Amino acid sequence: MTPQAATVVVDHAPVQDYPAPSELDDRCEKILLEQLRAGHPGAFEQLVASQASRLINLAYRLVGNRAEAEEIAQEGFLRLHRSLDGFRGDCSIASHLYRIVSRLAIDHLRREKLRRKLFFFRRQEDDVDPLEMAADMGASPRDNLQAKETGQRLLKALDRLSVRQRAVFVLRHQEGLPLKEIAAALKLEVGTVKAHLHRAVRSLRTELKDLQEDRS
Amino acid sequence: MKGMEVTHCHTEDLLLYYYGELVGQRRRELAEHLDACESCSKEWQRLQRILDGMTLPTIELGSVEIQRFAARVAERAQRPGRSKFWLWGGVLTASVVLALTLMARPPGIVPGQGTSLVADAAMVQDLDLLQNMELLEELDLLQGLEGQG
Repeated sequence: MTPQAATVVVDHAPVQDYPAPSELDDRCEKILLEQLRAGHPGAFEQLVASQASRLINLAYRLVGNRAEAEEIAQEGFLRLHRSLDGFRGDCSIASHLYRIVSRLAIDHLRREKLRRKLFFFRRQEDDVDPLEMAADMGASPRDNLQAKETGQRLLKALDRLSVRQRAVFVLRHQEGLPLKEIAAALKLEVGTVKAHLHRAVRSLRTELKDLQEDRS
Repeated sequence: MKGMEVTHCHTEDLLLYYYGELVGQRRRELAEHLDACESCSKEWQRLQRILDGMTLPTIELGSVEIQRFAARVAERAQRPGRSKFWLWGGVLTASVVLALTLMARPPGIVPGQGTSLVADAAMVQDLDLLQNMELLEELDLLQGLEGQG
């Protein structure tokens, strides 16, 4: 054994926290599900209110437009509502919603790409509402501005990825979903998800090369 | 030089390592390698820096906005699902209209064939006329020969 191997190995990777997909715990979710199935007034609205922010943000990161993101999130909730009787509870409501919205966003992106190809349509890239992004109160104005610029550049760079690469990257990098979950949500093999993630990061590194150099 | 060969990390493995998707033995091996290999360690730092800096913008929704959105979605959910009903109703109506049209048509005429029959008849008439013309020409020729004879 070499002296190096005998030393304590440092795990360099940052600790990846997998965010709980829902703010609802199991018991609350069961009660809510029963209420939803019983048609309890206000139960659906309560569910929407508890998940809206998360799902609108998920859709926004996937499609890059707030109005479209709200439409997609709304459609996701409506689909859940329509399929409540058939919902077997194999996963949590929040995970189920995540899957619905991810697929809806992917379908939307595909249609959008096709539309752009057919009609040579380009989305206005400078139509970002500055009020859309809330400033981080802890950071300096300069940091905030830089973070926003980086965020917008990342959104544009994501636009150049394939639909699946974009979805895999956003779900893994931003939403923190494990690859297995992503594979289940997008109905892909885990190996395929890994390949999409790798290609997405490679393209993004090329697109954002100057940022990489600035930071080094 | 066999002992000098160094196998460097694949970027894909570094990526999985970053996202905590490498587990057990493979994770330990990679961590050991990063401790020992300067080239891979540099690449790892570069990758870490760029990925740490990739943060997508977030929409901050206020409680009023969320309540409004929830109320809108709940209101839409309460509306009767008429889209499918109208779709099936439309299909049924179209089928009934088509069936009635077919039933009301006089017997013996098959749609689509009528026009082709007319076209065929016209073509046969044209052929007949052509043949008659040829016969007339031949008759003229025979008369001419007779006259010479």
